[in-house]
Amino acid sequence: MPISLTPDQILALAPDSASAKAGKGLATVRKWQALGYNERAVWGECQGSGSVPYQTQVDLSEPAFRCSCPSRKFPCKHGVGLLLLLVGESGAFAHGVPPAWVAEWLAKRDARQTPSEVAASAASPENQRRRAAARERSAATREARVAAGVEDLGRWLRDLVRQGLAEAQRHPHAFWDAAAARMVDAQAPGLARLLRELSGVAASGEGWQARLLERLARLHVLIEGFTRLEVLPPHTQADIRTVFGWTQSQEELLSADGVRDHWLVLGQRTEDEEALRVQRTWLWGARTARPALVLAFAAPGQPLDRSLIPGTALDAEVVFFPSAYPLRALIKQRASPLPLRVEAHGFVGLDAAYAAYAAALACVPWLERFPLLLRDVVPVRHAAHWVLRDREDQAVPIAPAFQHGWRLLAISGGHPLSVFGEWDGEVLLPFSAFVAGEYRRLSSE
Amino acid sequence: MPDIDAPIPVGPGTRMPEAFAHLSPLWAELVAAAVLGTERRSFAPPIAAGALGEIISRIEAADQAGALLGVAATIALYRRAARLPSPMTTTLPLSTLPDEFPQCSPRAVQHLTMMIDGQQRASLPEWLAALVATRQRPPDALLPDLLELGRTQTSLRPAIVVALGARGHWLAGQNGDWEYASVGPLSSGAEGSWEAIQARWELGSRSVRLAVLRHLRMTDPARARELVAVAWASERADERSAFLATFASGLSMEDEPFLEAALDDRSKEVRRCGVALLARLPDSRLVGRMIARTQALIRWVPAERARLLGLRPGQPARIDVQLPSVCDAAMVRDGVEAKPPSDRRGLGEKAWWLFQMMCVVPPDSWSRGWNAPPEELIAAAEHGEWRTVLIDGWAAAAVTARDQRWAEALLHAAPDQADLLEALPPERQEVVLLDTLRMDCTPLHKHPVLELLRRTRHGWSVELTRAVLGAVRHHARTWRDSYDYQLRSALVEDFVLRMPPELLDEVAAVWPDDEGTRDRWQGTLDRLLITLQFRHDMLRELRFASPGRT
Repeated sequence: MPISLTPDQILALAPDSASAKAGKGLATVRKWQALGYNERAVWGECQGSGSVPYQTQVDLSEPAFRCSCPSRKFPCKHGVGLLLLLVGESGAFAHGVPPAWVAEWLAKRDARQTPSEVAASAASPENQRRRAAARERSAATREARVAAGVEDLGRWLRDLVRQGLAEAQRHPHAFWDAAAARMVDAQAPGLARLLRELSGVAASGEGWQARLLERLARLHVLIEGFTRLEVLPPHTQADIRTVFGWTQSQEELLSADGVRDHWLVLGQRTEDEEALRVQRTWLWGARTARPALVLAFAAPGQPLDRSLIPGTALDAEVVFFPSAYPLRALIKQRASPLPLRVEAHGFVGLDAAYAAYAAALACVPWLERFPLLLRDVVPVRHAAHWVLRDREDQAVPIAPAFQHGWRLLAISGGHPLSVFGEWDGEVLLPFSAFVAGEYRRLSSE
Repeated sequence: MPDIDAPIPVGPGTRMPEAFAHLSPLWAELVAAAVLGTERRSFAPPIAAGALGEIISRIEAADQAGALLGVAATIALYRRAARLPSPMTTTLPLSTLPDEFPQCSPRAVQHLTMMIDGQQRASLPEWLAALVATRQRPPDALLPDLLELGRTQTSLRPAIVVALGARGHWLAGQNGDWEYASVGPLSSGAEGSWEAIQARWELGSRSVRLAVLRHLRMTDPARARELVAVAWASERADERSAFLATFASGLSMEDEPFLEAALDDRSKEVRRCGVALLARLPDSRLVGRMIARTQALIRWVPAERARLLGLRPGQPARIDVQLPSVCDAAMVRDGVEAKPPSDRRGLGEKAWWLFQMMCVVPPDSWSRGWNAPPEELIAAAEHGEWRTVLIDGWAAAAVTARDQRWAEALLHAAPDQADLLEALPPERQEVVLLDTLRMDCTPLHKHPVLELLRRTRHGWSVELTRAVLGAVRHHARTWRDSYDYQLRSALVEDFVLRMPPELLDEVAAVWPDDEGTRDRWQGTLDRLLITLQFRHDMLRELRFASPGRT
């Protein structure tokens, strides 16, 4: 079989559940003609409601999709259906030379530059100089704006603490949102996000006072750090800028040397932020024993990157964003996919996991989400909540927002298994589980 | 949606190592100070030892609000980093036994997911039965979805429970909502010992106890009866009738004494249940009493041949019926209801009593007692004034007694008595259906064979399928309006589930292709073929794919 994806992984490529459903419905020979494949691609024609059948093709190396149907979804249901059909009924496909409409597209893809090649061409001295100058100008304006915003925020914070949190809790949503809006104007969107979350914390019920104080204190540390930025070590400067919402140029990053390793794709989850969809994919380096977080963004309705498939592994070179505890990264170069072997990795016992988190906190005190791959844990239901229990009979709570507790229990059967998720210091949000080394998705997206 | 920030109590709350225990009161004081505000109470950074103290001492104390925030940030960070996982002292629940069968293939999982989501849901019972027959189990990840489906769609429960496997039963036992599925076959290991069964019986909820009874009735009905007998006096009426209903499985004359005693029960529902069960035991005392009563009231007069060279004309056979004069206490005890329901009021009260008694008398006691074949008796009843009482009564009795001979004979004379089909095994059902189909009376969508076809539960033979399709095609060619909705919906919702999927290509071919027919029938045909194709794909995947991957 020319493809090594399972039907589950193929369905996970669909942009939404309606497309997945429609794709399943199209995975029947009855609907297709001119089905064919070679080592690189698979293609076919699907009869739609029009008079001319749609031409659908998939470049298997990524996978990348193309279809002549009018759908704006990516991949469309025809792409999903074609791949499902390939897995289920490979006999219906003729191995051979691709027709012209497939060969042309593949040729165009080959001619396209890879990201590092783009970075290299952009590195000509003239270009570099021009860009550096432009960056300096915009950076200066930005610095000024942020500095002003931070000064305001400092005063605002102190006012809150002077009047007391009991007063603060009485403010309506608009109070916190207004502070956030001012940070957006000051070009510090990261601070704006932290401020927006505060209204929820103030209303979070029992224990809100401690939670609110901790968050306000964290904001205080960040803005104090910003006012003393020059005396801080460079990696901490980078971390502060990242929290503030400074984006780093990807070109620059890609021109640096990366870490080459066998990277296990442990889990993936899509979240909706303000007017943006964010996809978080966590990798684990098998030899370097370190995590990497790849973020991908899309406007609502636009396709998300589908090239990292959870439950697979790849031989790749990864570059990390500068940080005192590097986590966020970009894929610089990818080579071949590899079979996934998870058994040898992960924390044995929660003590080790919590210790790793503490070490990360020491480097980045405002760290919000930390990857944890836990080995040999059992999911247990404890008074209407779920926890994971390790071999030492210690437990870590699972986030109440996690909706697939019973699925996790069914997969484990009460036996120990490996679970991967994000830890925020209080609760764990599971992304995936591994049973006998096999990957099982736990997130809905 | 629950807030992620709300604390989850696990064990005795946040656990700190000894060395950091002093941070907790410090933190509590800080929070209290922050709540009040530095205007109301001035703030001075606390003294602390070691590295922590050093950091705090460097914080600018004059800026009180800033100092509070700075100290809070430091202590909060220390606490966060020092936090330890919470110990859990409760006993770990037992894990599941090893699974007997492998999980089905990924493509089969796709089919199952579609059906759980609502597409082609009507094929789910067939899929589950095929899963069991091919010695596979449902995918672990979908067990919760299956159990949830069974929770809300009770008609699917029998099919689901049988296919769950050890892991599914185990999972069901962990969640109160899924109790209905928590008792699996009671034969395996420690689960099956008599002590374990008794424990479940004594401690279990109603649905667990019913599940125990149902399983026990299949292997050891006497024990099941024992359990019920012991609990009988202390149970409420609806529990008693639910327990009694389980006797339907493994029913035998050994249950007769208990059932006869149930006729004296306080609850009407229990008595009704007892009557229904005793009616299935031809040697029971109840049936004996009914036979005696009805034989006294009904008389068979055989045909008389013409005599004296035609001067004395022959008389056709007839059945003389006398109505019972009263509905006495003994009759009431035996289940006869005095007042007829609204759909039987046309009979008249006394005829209603007689009808109820007829329902309980096994029909072959008539044909044996009068020494005449059923066909003759039915023919005689057809022409008499008591047709309804006799034919309907015999029909109900034939279903209860599972009397094939009488059922077929009655169906021949009265094909609208669709219930009778249940009394026949599938091969005989098909013979009757083919015969009825050949009755060229009304257009197909009003034909009595439709209702009969809807009652079938088995997979149709190729012959029957072809005959039905032929009739439908003929109808499609000749019937010009669209008021045959009942036929078309029966076709795509019911019949399609019985047709052998191997006939898919045949079903797709040879439809009249004139434009009028195509317009009216295209939608129906598409649905028919899609469902048939789905059944074909799903069954083939279960039978021939290599199970056990992912």
